[in-house]
Amino acid sequence: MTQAVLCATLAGLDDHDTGRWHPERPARLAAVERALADDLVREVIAPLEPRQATLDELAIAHDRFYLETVEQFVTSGGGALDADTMTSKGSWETALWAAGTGLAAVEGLSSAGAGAAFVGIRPPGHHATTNRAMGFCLINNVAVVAATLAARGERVAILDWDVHHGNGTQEIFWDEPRVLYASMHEHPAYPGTGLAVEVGGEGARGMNVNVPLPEGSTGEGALAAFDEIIGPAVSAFAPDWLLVSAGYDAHRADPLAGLAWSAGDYGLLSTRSAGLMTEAGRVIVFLEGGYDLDALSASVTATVAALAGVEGVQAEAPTNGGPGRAAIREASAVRRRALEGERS
Amino acid sequence: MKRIIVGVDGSANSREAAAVAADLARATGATVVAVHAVGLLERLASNGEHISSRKRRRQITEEMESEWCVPLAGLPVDHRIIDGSSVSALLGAVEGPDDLIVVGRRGSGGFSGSSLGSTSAEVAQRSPVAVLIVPEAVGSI
Repeated sequence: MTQAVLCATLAGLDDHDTGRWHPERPARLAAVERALADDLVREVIAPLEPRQATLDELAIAHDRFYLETVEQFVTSGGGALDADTMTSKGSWETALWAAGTGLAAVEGLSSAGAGAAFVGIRPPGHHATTNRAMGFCLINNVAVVAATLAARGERVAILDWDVHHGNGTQEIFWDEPRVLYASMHEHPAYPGTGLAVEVGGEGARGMNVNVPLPEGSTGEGALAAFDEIIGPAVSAFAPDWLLVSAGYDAHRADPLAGLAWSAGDYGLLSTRSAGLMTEAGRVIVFLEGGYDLDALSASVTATVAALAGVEGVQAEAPTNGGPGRAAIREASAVRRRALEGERS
Repeated sequence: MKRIIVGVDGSANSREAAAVAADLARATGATVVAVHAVGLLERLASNGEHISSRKRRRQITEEMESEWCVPLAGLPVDHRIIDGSSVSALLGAVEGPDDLIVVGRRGSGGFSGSSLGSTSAEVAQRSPVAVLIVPEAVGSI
């Protein structure tokens, strides 16, 4: 039995110009549009109307001075916020659309009381900290939604499968016991954070879960990390909402990183992720990275199909082998020691 | 002063910072730590293909030793390649109160002149130790 998936993209609203050479480019959203037009998922998609976030809504996750300063810099013409993060005059408006559309997904699912949601947005968000833009990110889209839900007293789990660790999301919720952050990512790699020993701040020990994976690790490693560490942690937390920071740059074709997953792996991860939630209408998937356009498109189709419960032949088979088992065992042991050390 | 931490990224201004760090090291006997932060785009080759982490680190090491750190020739230098932002990399290299950070005012990224500031401005703002910011075309001291 299938369920509807609320889907939005910012196609037509995207005025975030990073320059001709930059991999985080508007064509990514065109690839997402192609993914959502695929025969496999077209009939299960329900349109979600994007909306812009207000400054007050963003300030729940970011420093207000930071927001005002970036807004002023960007709307004055933009430029480089760091060596990776390029902006143009329209980037701020696009960032408001990106963050607001995550909030629209909460509103849409709450009204429907069923289904799941996928928001195809850019710029991505999970590297943006409370007061710093970095790693292509201006506003931490998933954090704005998670903080909004947590402020209402809801328990929120954020699952981050972007190939890069979401240092911004980790920082924002480091001491927040109502939000569990769980990430699997390539290590060593940008931004250098995401070790298993990083288990959360004083007020939220154990609420931060990191599984670093070595270069070359395949989908088999990702599923093992999910089944052995991340899934059990999320289940034990019993969240009211599951938000997914869905980067597709762990795909073997991605030019920015070195993991070796396939679209089929993203489908399996999506099925397992949605399976963590017992109540319908509580899963929102946010686009983060993913810079090979064909890989991005195939992987988004696989994700949406999995969220909808569509049975069908995946364009790419899941991947097996490669390194990663030892890293997962080590991550599990390091995390256990870190938490036991706290108690002793 | 026991250690001089200098940020290097291949830009002309970072070479000037390295030259100033070299002069200070020779004058004081301090050791030098040359730090390069690896950003998100550094594993993307100019032809659009992926560069493996190991290969990129090897390339950076060669570039640091043969080009970026030429002004430090003859001095014992600890070369460090750190994933992440330049600010985090520089501040993360600090070990004690006697360290000094030397950084170019304008590297290959950042946006000097805005109120958020460039890498050098943010390092100066957040550093627990003294920071020396080297403007463009200062030469050695």
